[in-house]
Amino acid sequence: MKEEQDSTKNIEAPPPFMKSWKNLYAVVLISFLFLIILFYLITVTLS
Amino acid sequence: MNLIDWTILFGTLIFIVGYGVWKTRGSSNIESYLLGDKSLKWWTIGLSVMATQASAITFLSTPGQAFDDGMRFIQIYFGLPIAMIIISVTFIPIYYRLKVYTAYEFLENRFDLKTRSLASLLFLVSRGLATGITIYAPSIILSTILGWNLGTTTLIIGTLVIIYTVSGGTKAVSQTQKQQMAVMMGGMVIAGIMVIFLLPKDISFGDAVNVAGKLGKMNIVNLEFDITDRYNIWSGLIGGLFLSLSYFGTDQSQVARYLSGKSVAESRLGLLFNGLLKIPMQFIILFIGVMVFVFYLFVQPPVYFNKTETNKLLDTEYKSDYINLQNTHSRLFEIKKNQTYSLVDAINRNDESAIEQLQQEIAQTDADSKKNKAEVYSLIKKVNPDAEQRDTDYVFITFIMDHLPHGLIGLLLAVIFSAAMSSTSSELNALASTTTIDIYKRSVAKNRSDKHYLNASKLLTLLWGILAILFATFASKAENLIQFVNIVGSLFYGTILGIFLSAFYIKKIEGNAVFWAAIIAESIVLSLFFFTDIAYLLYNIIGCVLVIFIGLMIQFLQKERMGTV
Repeated sequence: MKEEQDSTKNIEAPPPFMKSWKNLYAVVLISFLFLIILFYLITVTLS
Repeated sequence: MNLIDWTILFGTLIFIVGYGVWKTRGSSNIESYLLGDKSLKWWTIGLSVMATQASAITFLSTPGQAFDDGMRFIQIYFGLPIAMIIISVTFIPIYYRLKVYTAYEFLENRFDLKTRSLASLLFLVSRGLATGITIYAPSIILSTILGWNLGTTTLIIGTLVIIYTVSGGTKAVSQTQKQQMAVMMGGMVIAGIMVIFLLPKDISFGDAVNVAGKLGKMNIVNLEFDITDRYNIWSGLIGGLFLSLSYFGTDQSQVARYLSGKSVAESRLGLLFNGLLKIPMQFIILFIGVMVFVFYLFVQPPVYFNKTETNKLLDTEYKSDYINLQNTHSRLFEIKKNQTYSLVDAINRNDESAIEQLQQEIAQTDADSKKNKAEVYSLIKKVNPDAEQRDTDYVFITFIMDHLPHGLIGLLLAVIFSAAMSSTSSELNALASTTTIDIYKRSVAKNRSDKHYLNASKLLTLLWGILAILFATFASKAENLIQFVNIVGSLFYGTILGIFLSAFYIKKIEGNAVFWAAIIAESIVLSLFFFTDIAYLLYNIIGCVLVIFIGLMIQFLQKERMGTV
């Protein structure tokens, strides 16, 4: 029982920075979107 | 290659192998050997995940791909960041909750033994083939440079990896990958700086980028949807998402990396680290390839980049034909070089009509060069019927060997070998753990001691290493190595992913239905591969959707039949 509780606690633990996992996922997605826009601009400008 | 190069190359390799063996000596139980005692921090996991995916093929073939086809190959990675998030949210918590050694253990828990065994076997076939290629890639370089027999070279590289992977298991794989990533990234950044530095003095970095753009090499993003086009944003986002989900979520060579994390948080952070850095890393490698393309607009490249093949012509009756073709190549190069200088001038003057005119002229010279090269290849083919037509895998290594200073040659070769060793060790470790846990322990020899399974894992690592060396001989038939690896993966990944997605998200589907659906789906994917021209990334989607759709149908029919009875 205790082991199960520890396991659930482990799974639900927040990240060491950015406060929540949702914030971290948002950082990954925003940086990805930024890269695509940057790549598109490079493609259009240089072709 | 001189003494400095050999010292740097072998010094790096011996240090990494020695470090791996020393640092992880004495793995005394199966959990330590296969899961590294679940002690790794997120940065080690992140680097290990990246090093596993970055094989020697990445550093040899990717710059060649950009040299030939431009930057558009990067779109294949567009699904990766999204996949990292999906795996962090869904896959990791389930794997942790069930305390699995391999991804396929979860399938027995959710479905049944036969589905677990089928997924394991599909993984073993596809990964076993791919591991052969990751050993073959650096072997062709050493064979080309030293004139060694390909089999001997393959054997040496395979043996080096086997030593520390058999000795230290997962921990050795992850620990050595930190050193290997440092060598890889450091070496590539230096190579990138050098190629720009080696451009003619009157060509600035801006000129080089502009020329690459006008000659179609900065084609990073293509928004057009075309089902037969291998690389556009849609095939990258959709096909790449399925490929990444399958590779990182269900391929044991990657799952083992994050299962060895200290906690769920460490594993998730490791994957998100990969999601942030993978695309920029690939951009750098492809951009180096584009800069090598620009470099060879001003410095004469060989007529055919695999010089071993052209050198053979000099000792045959075709020598004079070859020399004539080489003279034509030199003449065409001079024409193209002058056209490129005029293009740079037109770009700097912002003269659109001159730019357009010069683009057409360069395209015409290119067409003539390709025709000339085809004639060289037909001569090569007469001497060696097995010679490959595409020589793009030799572009980057030729640049390194012919134009980089001593010391850097050794370092760049160490990059390629480190990459080969890092991915091969992960793959051997994953093949051994899947065979031990999902096949041997589950179906062949149950209830043996921990020590017995530890020894079995070590023996199986060795056996898979030997098999991979044997598979490496088949890789020589592949036209382009990095594409071949992705094609092999795409043929099986879709089906495996379909099984896992059914397990995670579709509660209605049960063991029997998903098992038969997977067999039918895999047969259809293989038929499509042999009889159609569909872009290979789409096989990931087709296989996955077929498993889910057919699985649901079988489940429905089964229910109907039971209702009738």
